[in-house]
Amino acid sequence: MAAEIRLEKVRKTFGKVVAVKDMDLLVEPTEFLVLLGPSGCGKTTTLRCIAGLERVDQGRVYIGGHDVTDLPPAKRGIAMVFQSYAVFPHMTVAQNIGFGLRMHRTPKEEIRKAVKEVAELLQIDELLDRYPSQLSGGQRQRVAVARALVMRPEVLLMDEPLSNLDALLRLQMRAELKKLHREVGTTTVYVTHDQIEALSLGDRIAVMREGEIVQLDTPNEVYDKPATVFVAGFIGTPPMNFLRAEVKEGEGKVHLAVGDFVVEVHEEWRGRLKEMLGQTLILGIRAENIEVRPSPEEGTLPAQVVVSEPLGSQQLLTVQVGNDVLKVATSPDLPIRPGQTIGLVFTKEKIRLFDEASGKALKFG
Amino acid sequence: MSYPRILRRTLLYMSVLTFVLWVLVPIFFIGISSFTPRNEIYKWPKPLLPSHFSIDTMRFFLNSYGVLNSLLNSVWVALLTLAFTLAVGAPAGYAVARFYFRGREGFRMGILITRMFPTALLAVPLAVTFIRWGLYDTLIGVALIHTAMALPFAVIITTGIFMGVPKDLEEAAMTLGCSRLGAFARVALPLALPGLAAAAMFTFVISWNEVFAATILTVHNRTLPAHILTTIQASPLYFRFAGGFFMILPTLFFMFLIRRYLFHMWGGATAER
Repeated sequence: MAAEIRLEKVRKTFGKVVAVKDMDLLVEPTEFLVLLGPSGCGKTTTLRCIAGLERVDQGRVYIGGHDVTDLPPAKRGIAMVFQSYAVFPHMTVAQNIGFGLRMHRTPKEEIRKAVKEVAELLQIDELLDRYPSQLSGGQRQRVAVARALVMRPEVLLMDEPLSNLDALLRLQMRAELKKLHREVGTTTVYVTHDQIEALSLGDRIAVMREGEIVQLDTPNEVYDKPATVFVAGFIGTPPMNFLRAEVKEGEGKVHLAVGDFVVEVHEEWRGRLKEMLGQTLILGIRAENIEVRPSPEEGTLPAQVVVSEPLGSQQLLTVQVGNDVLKVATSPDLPIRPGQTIGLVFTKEKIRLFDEASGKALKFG
Repeated sequence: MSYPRILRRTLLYMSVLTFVLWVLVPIFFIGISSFTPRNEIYKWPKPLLPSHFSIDTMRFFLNSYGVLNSLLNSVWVALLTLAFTLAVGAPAGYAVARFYFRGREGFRMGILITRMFPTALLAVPLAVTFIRWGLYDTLIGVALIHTAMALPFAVIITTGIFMGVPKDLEEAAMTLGCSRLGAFARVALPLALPGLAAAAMFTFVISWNEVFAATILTVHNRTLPAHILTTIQASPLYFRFAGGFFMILPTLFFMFLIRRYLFHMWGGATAER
């Protein structure tokens, strides 16, 4: 039932703009893959190329091993949920959900049964006789999902399906989509610009930028080991902190220097770093991987608190180190006032180093 | 309300009132006169309402020689115009609404230029060409000219209508098993239908009202306006009133039905649904 999707060197241009740049991608059967990126990065175009709503300029698209590059959307075995839901306003909910089956000349009785079943799954079986104008945004969304699922597609494509819902509903639908995917097990490609959505839903996340996949990994890997400065800055709230650090040697040991402050590095990294003595790198560290000491002790990086934001489960500090501004997450119980000078300690294992010129993460071992 | 605002409001309503009266007063008198008994028409001072309601004048007009025939001609020409215009205009409007193509904006502007060209300049060459093609004094010939006149509006109105039908809906239909054409027929068309009906009525009205080309290009097969125009000078006053009112009636009726779409066409004021 669930099919594999393979893109081979897919390229799509609009005039002079290259929306998708020679992309290779393999989505495993039953996988939930999220295409994540800022607007204009080509994620929606990629999805539309898979759907067949855009013709690719070059490359091939395979679904379930079949070359579908030249097939129209109707013949690809896909179903799609649109950002706008695209529920047909002149049809009732039942007619909307049954539309695809009607197009495939399914017997009436079967359609009725299938519609009822999927409507129950999405808890909209009470609404079958209504018209879309009588539904709320969340209900329309469910109709759109039901209309796609009833087709029992080999591949389910979703284009920012939650972005038009209010925050609370979005949270609820997110969990429901995840549950639905587990129950139905259709190969799913999901486009979003919301990194939280991507982290929570995806088996894997493909982070895109300017028509290319920058990193394709599990949510944890993408979060903990971003492949580039771009990914590190795009994922996480707040995004990763960056500091310029110089590779130095002192007391026979290689270390990183942020101003005068010495940052100890992993022993395994020392060999590689030794070859880079004198170079400037970008040190990345997440807000929650910085420990706070109430006063700048020996061996801590002194920082001045600019703003303190209590966020309930944590306290988010904006601190100044030299000319750099860092975000630091700490316990809400720690009494900290703006203007206070505190000491910071970086968790050694969580430090990420990037090449200054290319922005790419350094690989160790 | 502040003083300047009251002033602005007053000016606005006064100018609106002026325009409304400008249009309605003549229509009112034409309407009243065509239902006034003949002997009362020349009375002075004129009463605002006739002493009694009479359909004699209307009956006389409708029964006079050539009126019924030209009325049928008018309806035929208008229907032909409608068919031609929608057959060409609606697909053009759809294309402009849906597809990006080189020169799209130019096309949208350029399409109105045909209306800026004075028809009077074309009269002689057109008549000559039509005689040569065997279209002179035929209903089809008049309908073709009316189509040329109505087409720009039809394209502009249908563009607006199809823009109002989200592209997503058709794409959704395509992912659910429809072909391009099937998606159009099952989703875009039903949703556009009320608007297309409005465009059709507007086209009908344009053809119904058109007098210049119809007069030049016909001799025997006159449409109603052409017939009235050519007979009016030799007719008594009450005949003119009856003819005028009869011409206005369908126009008013159709315009009232489609007013919302006309607002829409000019890209402005939101008329209530």
